[in-house]
Amino acid sequence: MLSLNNVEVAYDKVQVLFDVSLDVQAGEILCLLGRNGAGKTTALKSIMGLLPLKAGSIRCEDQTLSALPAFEVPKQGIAYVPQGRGLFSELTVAQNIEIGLMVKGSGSDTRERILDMFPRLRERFKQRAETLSGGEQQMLAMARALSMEPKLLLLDEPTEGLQPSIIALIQDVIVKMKQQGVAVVLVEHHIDTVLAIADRVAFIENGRCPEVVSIVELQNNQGKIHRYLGIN
Amino acid sequence: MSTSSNTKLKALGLHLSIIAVLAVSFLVLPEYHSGIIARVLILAIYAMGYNLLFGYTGLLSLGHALFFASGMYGLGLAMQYLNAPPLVGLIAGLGFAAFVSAVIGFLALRTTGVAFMIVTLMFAQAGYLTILLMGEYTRGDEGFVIKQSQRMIAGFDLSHATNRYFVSVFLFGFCLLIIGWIVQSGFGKTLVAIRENEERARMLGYNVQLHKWIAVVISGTMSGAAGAAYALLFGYVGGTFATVQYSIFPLLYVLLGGAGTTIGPLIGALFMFYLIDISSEFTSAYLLVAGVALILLTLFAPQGIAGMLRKRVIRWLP
Repeated sequence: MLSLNNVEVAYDKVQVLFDVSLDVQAGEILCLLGRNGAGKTTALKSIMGLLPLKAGSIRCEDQTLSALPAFEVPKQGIAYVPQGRGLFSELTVAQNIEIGLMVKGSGSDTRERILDMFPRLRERFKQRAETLSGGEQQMLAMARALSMEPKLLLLDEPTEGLQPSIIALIQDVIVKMKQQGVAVVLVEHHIDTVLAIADRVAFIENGRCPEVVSIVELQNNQGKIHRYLGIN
Repeated sequence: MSTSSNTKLKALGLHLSIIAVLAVSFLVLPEYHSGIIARVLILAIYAMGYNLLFGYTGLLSLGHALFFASGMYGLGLAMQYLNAPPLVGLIAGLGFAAFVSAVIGFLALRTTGVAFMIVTLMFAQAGYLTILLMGEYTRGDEGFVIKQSQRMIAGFDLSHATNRYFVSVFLFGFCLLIIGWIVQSGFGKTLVAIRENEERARMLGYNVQLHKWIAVVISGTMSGAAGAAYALLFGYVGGTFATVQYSIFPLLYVLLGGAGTTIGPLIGALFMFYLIDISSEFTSAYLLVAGVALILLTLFAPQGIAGMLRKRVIRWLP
């Protein structure tokens, strides 16, 4: 589905990613795990075309994403929920979702399906995004991404700062997407979430990807978490 | 019926009611006031064009006088030197304004923020200086008059106060319905998304640059339509309309009336026009009164009159 081949990215003269190669298949959840500043968000932004590549290429199915302008990338069926949610804060829940629906010209069926996943948003439908709680904002960010009916979903710390019940809801939705054949690339610091839903984990360290392991391998060797994240 | 269709119907109802009230008002308004309203409606068209770019797209232009003047001179020069009939002149005005806004939009949109403001201001100044430079044809600041005999459409005298009033209402109504339709369309919603956050809109798959350029062209063409209508209805074409002052006016109308609302430009133009008209009866420092009113509105209703209405009463106002 998605492959990063020897990707190098730099912010002006400061190189952030070095020779990163990764792939994720349809119906798979790949988690990028690493310390702050390791380059995980940069990897997601480069997939979205928001940062130019210094070297390497990014492909999604038959399309070379790195050759496309940023606004063409989502049209390939790729949705991105950035860290901080990236909502249109002055607009209502309804308007935020509608902007997502318009990308693919999806109709009310899609909207209803998404609102069924996040019933709280139905109650807040006419409320401005900035007046929602953190959890509701995260639901809305996810809802807007899903309204684009993606085949690849990029999530940057979707459970950051949320209460356990909302984390469980977000996890359920991610798993549901996976079951529907959506490929998911997840940047996550919440280890329990990673262990609960990821299929594979790619460790990112100082802009490199030294190791990709299956979740079973990680569960059997949790020393890797200590090694790459410095936690037990 | 979906919420969206319901909102669209309510908005259409409101716009049609405003047009109807304006038309009926002629029967009760004294001649002096109907003359003012006709002028205000044309300036409100100008402000509506400006509002699409500033209020809905978030691009602050200081050069819209150039688009207004393009429409005005497109029509005026065609009628003055080519003896074009009014409708052909109107098309020439619209065409010229569309062309000028397309070119300036293409160039100015290479910049953002304050730079965009400055670049549009510079283009407008260059346009004004061009009008002065070509004074042999444009008559510079002095301008020229379009003869009454030329301002006739099939025996319908556009210089007559009654006709002028109803043509103003018709043109204003037409533009209000167009703007209402645009801002509630997918295109209009995308403009709002761009206003809120360009990068997020791009991240969702919208071609931000193209949308902004189209917004400049529509905005410039509508401003040009106002300029052409002004020349046709009031029979005067002059370089004064290309000065920076005429770029500031629509900004003030929109700020006062409510940026990003369809009815804000009309409210702002009416409010400003009458504020100056009434205060000038009492003092020669009427601009000071206008300034104080602006400060008060900015302090107590920063979203403008219609913006405040939308926040507190009419939440569905487009």
